[in-house]
Amino acid sequence: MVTDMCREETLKSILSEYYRYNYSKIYKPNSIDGREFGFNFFGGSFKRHIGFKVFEEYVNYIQRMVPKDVYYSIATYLEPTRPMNEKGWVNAELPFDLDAEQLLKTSDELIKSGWISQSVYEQIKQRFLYLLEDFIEADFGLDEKDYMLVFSGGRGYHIRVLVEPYINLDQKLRRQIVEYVSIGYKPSEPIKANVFQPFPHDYGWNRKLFEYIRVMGQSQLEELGLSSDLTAKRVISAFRKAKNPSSVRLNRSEFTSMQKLLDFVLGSYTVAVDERVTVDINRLLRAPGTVHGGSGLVCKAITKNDLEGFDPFRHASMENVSRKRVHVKRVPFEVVINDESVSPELNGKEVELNSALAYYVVVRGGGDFVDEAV
Amino acid sequence: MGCGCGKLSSWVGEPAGGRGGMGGGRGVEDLAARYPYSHWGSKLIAELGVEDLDGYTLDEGMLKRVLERFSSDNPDPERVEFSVDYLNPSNEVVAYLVGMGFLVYSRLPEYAKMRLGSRLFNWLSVRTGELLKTEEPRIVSELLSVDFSLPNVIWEDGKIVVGLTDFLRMSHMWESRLRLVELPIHRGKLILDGKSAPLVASQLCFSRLNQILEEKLRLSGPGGPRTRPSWVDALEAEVSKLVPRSWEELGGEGVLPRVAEEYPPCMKEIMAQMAKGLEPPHFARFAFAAFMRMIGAPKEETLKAFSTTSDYKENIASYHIAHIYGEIGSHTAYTAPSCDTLKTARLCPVEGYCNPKAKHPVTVYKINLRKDINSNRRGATQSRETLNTDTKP
Repeated sequence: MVTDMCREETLKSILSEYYRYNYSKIYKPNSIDGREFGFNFFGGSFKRHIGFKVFEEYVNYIQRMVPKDVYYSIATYLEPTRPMNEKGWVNAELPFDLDAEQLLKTSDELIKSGWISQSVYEQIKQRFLYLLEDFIEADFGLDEKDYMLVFSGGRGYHIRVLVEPYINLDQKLRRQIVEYVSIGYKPSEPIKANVFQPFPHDYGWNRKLFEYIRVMGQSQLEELGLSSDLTAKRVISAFRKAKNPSSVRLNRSEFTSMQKLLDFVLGSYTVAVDERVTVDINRLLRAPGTVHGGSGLVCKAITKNDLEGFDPFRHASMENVSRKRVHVKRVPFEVVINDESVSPELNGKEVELNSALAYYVVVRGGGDFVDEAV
Repeated sequence: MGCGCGKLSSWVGEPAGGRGGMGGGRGVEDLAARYPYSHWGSKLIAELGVEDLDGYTLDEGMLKRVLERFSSDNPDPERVEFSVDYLNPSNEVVAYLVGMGFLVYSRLPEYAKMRLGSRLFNWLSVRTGELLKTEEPRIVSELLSVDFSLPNVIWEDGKIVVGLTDFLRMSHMWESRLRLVELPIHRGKLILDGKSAPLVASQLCFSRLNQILEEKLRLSGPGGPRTRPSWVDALEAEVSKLVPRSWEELGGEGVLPRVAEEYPPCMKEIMAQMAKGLEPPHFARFAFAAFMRMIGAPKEETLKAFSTTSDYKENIASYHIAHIYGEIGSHTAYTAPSCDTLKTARLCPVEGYCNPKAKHPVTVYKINLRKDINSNRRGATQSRETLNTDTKP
């Protein structure tokens, strides 16, 4: 086994190799001279309020310093290297962060510790696509030229909206956008009436709720314990008969029953984006084209077309040629990186792996380097 | 009355236009009377030459008209709708100028002016919303584009269509009165029908009026205007009777009595968690400390509320509280999060709003407290001392 220091040095050498030969993959942010950069280094130190005038300076810095993680601000500033309250905020991308833990509402220890299987990544991707198509595109009317899609290199994906007026929105508005995506809308019960019109108009969340309830089937009613509830069935039938959301009319008991159905719909069709990321107008976000130091996978900008077939282990791995010997201790499932795999059968054994896979296994705590000299 | 049409739940047919005169079938004077803050109102004001109300004498009719607008937080929509003086449209624009001018010239305390401004603007925006329900789409479009600065307002399939991005650009005008989740958003557009357009316009109206007042105050220079028209004195004597009995009665100088039973449900919930020895999330603790600061609780009292949490460390807690109170760090005294923010952070335990008139926990508390004080005043036996007693979690 190696000492902590040796392990860190070996990990750093792997990243160094990646940055030496793959600097062209580092993404060039627009308005680079207005961005604040932050770097997390091996050994635990973190530096922020760093600025670069030109892209080459930024790439050289990464090659020279080999940071474990690289971030830059979603905001642009007049003076990005000054202390926070003196920077002079100009605008900030509107980011959405989908994290496996929040998104799948799981407390799974494996996911918490960063072990994310291909099937979990697939689930996150499907949810990400839903967010993109049903909210960002369908509701906000944005298209591919307006946003950037990024695999974070860790537990999820980012959408970064790059255009006006979104980049000018203040925190209040950004919070409303999070509410739109993550909480949704539930009509409140009018105080005096016998006939209720739950949806005042035909668009936005009104249409979403209308469409989702129309297609509710027996299995969902069973899940809600409403399979023999005649009122709930009457509600669904009324929705199916209505031409549009605003023409739905319900009596009081049907309205109450509809509220239960809406709870289910809202639970299923909202997307739990990380509110702190979207609302924080000074956030540092991981830099595309750099390596996620906690996984060894590359934080990668992707197109919507690429997204469908995107597999983080295949398409976001470091393309290194070096190999490392690893003592595998506890790998929970098979991981395939650069056409080479490690599976639980290898637990307790020593193997030689490509350095991208070795980095992943070691940094996730599934093994350790063997007698590795720097 | 200038309007003969009934209320429409949705618009049908084409927007009226080219029927002579500005604003389709309705004349400029009618429109100015209905929307005195609008470009139609400005036109009539210019024609009448009453911009500055120079030498104006307040008569009893006008006094009554203006007082009505300053008197209620919650005007009756039907009553305000039928208040338009179509026979003398000049009365409407003058009433608007008098109300706005009063807010600029009056020497009433700031809190009172804020309260009165809010009432006046609410009154006008409620009336705008009601009147627009019976308005031709062309007029609604014109109001949205000219007076509320929404570009590219178009008519499509019986709806007014506004670009969502254009609408978001106006976000400073609608603030939190409109919630994105409730709006008719579709493919980057807002699709407004006969119901939603008046609602949106009404909210924009409220914000626009605030903006007009800000501009007027800015133009009057630091310390307010130097000269003060004589009609303001006459009006001030009457209007001051409408102002709430002052914050002094509620504790004075921003310091409110702490009556835990009247705290909003979110704060009660956080207090209950702390009292049980649980560990509320960081944001909940921040919200509570900022709330306590805003209602004037001393730091020690806030610290004491935290002392029952299982992870309590006095030095750390007092550091954070001092930070929130603006005594250390950036020296920014932090404001408690709004109801919407607390909802997003899942710290609001109620569905909807616990008080539909308030969107901030401190406002909820003030309203609760006022109710409490009023009920006591109406014959309760509870003494002031009891009211001021700090209720510990």
